[in-house]
Amino acid sequence: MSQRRFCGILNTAISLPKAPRGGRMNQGKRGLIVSFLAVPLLLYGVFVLVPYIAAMVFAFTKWRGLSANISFNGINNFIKLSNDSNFLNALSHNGVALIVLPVCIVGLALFFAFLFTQGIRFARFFRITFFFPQVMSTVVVAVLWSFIFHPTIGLINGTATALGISGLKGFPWLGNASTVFPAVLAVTIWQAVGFYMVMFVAGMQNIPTSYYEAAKIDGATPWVLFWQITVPLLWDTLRTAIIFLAAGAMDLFALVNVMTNGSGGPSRGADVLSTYMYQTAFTRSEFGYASAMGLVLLLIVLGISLVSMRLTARDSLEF
Amino acid sequence: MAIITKSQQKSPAPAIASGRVSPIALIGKILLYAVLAAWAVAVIFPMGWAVLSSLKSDQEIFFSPWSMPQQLLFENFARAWTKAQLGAYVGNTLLVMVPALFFTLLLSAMVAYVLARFEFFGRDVIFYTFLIGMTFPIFLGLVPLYFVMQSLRMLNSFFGLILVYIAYSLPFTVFFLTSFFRTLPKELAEAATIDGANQYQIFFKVMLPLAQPGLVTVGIFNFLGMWNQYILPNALMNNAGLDDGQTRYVLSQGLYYLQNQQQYSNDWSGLFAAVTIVMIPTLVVYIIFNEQIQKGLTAGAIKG
Amino acid sequence: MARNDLLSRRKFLKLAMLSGGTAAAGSLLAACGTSTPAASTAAPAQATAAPVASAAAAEATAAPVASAAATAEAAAGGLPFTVAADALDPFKLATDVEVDGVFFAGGFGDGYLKNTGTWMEQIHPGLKVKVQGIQQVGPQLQPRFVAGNPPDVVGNSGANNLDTVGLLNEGQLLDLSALMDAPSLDTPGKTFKETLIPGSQDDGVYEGKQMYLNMAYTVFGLWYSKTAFEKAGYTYPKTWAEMLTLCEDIKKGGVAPWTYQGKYPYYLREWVLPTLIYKNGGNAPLIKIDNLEASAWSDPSVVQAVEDLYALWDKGYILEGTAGMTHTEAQTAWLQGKAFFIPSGNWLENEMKTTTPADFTMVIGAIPGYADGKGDQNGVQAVGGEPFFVPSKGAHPQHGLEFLRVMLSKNSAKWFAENVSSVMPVLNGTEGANISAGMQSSLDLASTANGAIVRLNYGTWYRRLYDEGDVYLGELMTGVKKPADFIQAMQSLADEIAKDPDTKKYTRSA
Repeated sequence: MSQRRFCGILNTAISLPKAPRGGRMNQGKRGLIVSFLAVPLLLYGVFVLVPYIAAMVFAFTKWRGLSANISFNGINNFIKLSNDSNFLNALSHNGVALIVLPVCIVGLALFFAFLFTQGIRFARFFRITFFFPQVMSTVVVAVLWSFIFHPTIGLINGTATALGISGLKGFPWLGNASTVFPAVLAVTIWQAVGFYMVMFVAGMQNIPTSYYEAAKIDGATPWVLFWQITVPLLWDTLRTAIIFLAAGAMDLFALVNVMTNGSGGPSRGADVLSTYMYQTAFTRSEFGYASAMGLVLLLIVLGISLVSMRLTARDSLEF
Repeated sequence: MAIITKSQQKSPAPAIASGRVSPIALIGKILLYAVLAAWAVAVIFPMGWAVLSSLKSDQEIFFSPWSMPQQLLFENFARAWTKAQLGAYVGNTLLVMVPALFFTLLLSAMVAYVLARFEFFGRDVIFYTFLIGMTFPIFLGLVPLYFVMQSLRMLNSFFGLILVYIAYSLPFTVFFLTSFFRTLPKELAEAATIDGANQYQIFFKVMLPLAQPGLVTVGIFNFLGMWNQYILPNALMNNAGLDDGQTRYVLSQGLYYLQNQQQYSNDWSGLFAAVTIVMIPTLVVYIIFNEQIQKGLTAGAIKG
Repeated sequence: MARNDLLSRRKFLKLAMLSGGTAAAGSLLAACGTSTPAASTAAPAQATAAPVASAAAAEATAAPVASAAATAEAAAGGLPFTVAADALDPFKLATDVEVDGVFFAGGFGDGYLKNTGTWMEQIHPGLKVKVQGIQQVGPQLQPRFVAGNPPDVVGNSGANNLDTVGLLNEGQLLDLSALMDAPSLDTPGKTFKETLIPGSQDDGVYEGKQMYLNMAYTVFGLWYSKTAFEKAGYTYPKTWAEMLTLCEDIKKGGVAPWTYQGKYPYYLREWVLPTLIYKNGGNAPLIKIDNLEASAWSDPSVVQAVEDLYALWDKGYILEGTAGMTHTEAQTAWLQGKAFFIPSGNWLENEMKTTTPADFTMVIGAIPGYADGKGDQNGVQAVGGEPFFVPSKGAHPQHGLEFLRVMLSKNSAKWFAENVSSVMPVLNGTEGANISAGMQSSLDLASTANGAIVRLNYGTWYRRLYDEGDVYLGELMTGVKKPADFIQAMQSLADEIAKDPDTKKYTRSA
């Protein structure tokens, strides 16, 4: 679903609890487990797993996706992939997003959330406002921003010119290979910050106020309160956000596709794996090859999830 | 305090907005508000601009995009409404989303509860299977999914689309709720067991109400996801019979349709009118709902 | 699903048998009972035979004659024109079926398609024609092609359309020869093929067979405001050298000489560069490019054309920010007078009608050429666009053929010209219709060319060369790639595709 726009994996609990809790709860648990899992797993299996497994099989074929004519191709798709400079180019953009998005989005969202839980004026207004971009559809967001980035009538260049910066007159933000991807990332950040802010506010409100009070009696500044109390106690949620955003950085399909009109931008300057994959599968009819990319993407995302889990796997504080 | 919310009432004495005001703190405070105001403008301005543009002519939108409309052209709305059958799109969207959301939350809560609370054979497999479901791009599974739907006779059926929405929402929701159930105190469940409640009663009477804040939050996320979902309905509702007058388009398809139309007829004002028609109710719903989230979260503050 | 298909096929066959035409039934059997590629190639052969054979059948059995007579009467009542009895039903259609047509509905809308459906129902009483206008042809139809239950007729255009040549290579398209040789609906004594504008359907011919038909007739050239042009007292340049001189004048006046659809570099790559190459070196270099010949791109006339195009960027003749604009944005900037020329097809006027200032008077001019060029200096890219085809595995392919025959009839073209202000590639299709000045200027441009048509196929044949070519051309026109780099990049990609065993190759000699 569209949370995949900016995220894919959420999980504080990617590492499952090592042992079940509640030893005495085991009476009747088998029946519960079976009855609770049956319907969801059936739905998931039929509508998600079966198509995906089929797609993974296609990764080893020459299928063009235009007829039932499928012939196997061994690992040739993967060999071709390793020499495909467009693939590496797209992957490198995902790599940039992987660093930029979590840092910027988590940083800003955390900052805002902290302020809003610290009794700042107009907190409610800001909190509601900042979430707005989330409720807008991607088509709408893309239309709005293409006007903002517009070379001649755009808001950015207009403001710059009004401020006396003449160098930006007519600068094509979405038509320049080195600015098109930063532009896409900026919009992603613009849209996602509110989402994470809400998530963090919710987490922060669960932190007992007594902790802050005690710290303040000891003379702690807001800075210290933030780093010593908020961040550690919010660790689970932060991990969620980071893992979520890491996977989101590997997707980015919708915005890149709409903002670059399906081309991946000038010189493929904003091409990401998902858009390149889409082009390969649908406009070039190389469905087998695109599926191979999908499989590689899957492995990369799984790898990233595991790594970011490890990196953030410090015991969350129980309180 | 100009605005006092419940959350603030339970907050400690504000760390930033109170205390003795030194010059440095004052400057800091001004900067802080400047940043907040700037972000708020960055959010509100484009949306306000979209609303204004919906009242302009196409010429004005392009020739003087940042000025006020010379006269308010409300006929843009009439055109957008009739041309795009927006009412029908919204109806279809709700028809699919209401049941899809409800069952997504219920089924995910069941799975998440089981995954979070019990250890059993195959648990890890299930867990990682869901993980894979979230990482693979939807469109690569699209063609096979079409065949699944076709063999189940569920193409062009709202029922089929509901099931698909649920299935594709499960991984994300399950993950979210699994972590939520893990944070719920086990003591409550144990107390309930001692009181003679069976496992089902514990789930429905104790755990599910406790999970309400999590359900509300993930419900919102899913709402947004389904509201914006485009790829799935576009492939599966492919007989959107325009000829029988009964469109089966959902809203995202309708918006895309309008954007497409705009590209060929250059009807920007109509597009912005449609955007406004869709955006405003969404925002109103969100603002109302926002209070619900707050309440849910406060009610669910069971820790500490 | 398989059972369902089988059932409907059987039912359909039964109906076909009942209607009496055994020859028609035979062709239907071949056309819709096929699942193997071998059998599907047999289908067109059957279909070709059908009109002839069924004419014999019509004489032999009473039933078809009776039904044809009934149709003639009904047609006289409902249709706005008359149809000769021998042109009424060349495909001997079964009438109690529902024809399933799925079409892209873009700038032309779907009114002309619905109109075609209505006429087809009037010509064949009892027939039901379902016309579905959609936005995303690819995602919606791809699974149906894979599943073997495609529609009966498809209009494949727009963003995310299907790879037409890909479908062709997979045997999914029906050979349209039977349609081409069928009698025209409303031009007595002519075959369908003879009523189409010569050259407009050439790109749909593969290995000698017409595989798809273009619905729109497009003329490409350079648009400008006649008002602004006359006010400035300029003369329209005949050669590229004159163009560059004029550009210098325009630039001095403070206006950008050129803009183009920056985010879609194919406007230049497909519709300006080939004309330059053609006017410079004639047809030969373009054929070499299409045939993926070694060093085709380093032909002197190609090099010259690329350098001339690049001069627009190099000398600063392109509107600042063009690279960041979509087609509508660039075209609007042009309407605002920020740039003097913009290249486009003749759909431009209709596309921009809501934003065109009242006194703008847009007209089209030829892409300038070369005083000493080898090609015809009146040459123009006047071709068909918006491909329509009949899927070979559809349930009622004969009905698909009939849909195209009705859609591309003279009366339909007239309806199209009057209601959509656009032109179908049908001879005299705009007769009596009210044509706008801009559209008329594009038709004049095409008639001046007098058959000197610039053709280009590599983009259609090889999708990769199309996509990457756009990337390279975008780079050329922003100075990222110099002409030599562009040529080298195109050549090495062409070489790569030529060597790729998985890519089916096409060649042309004229």
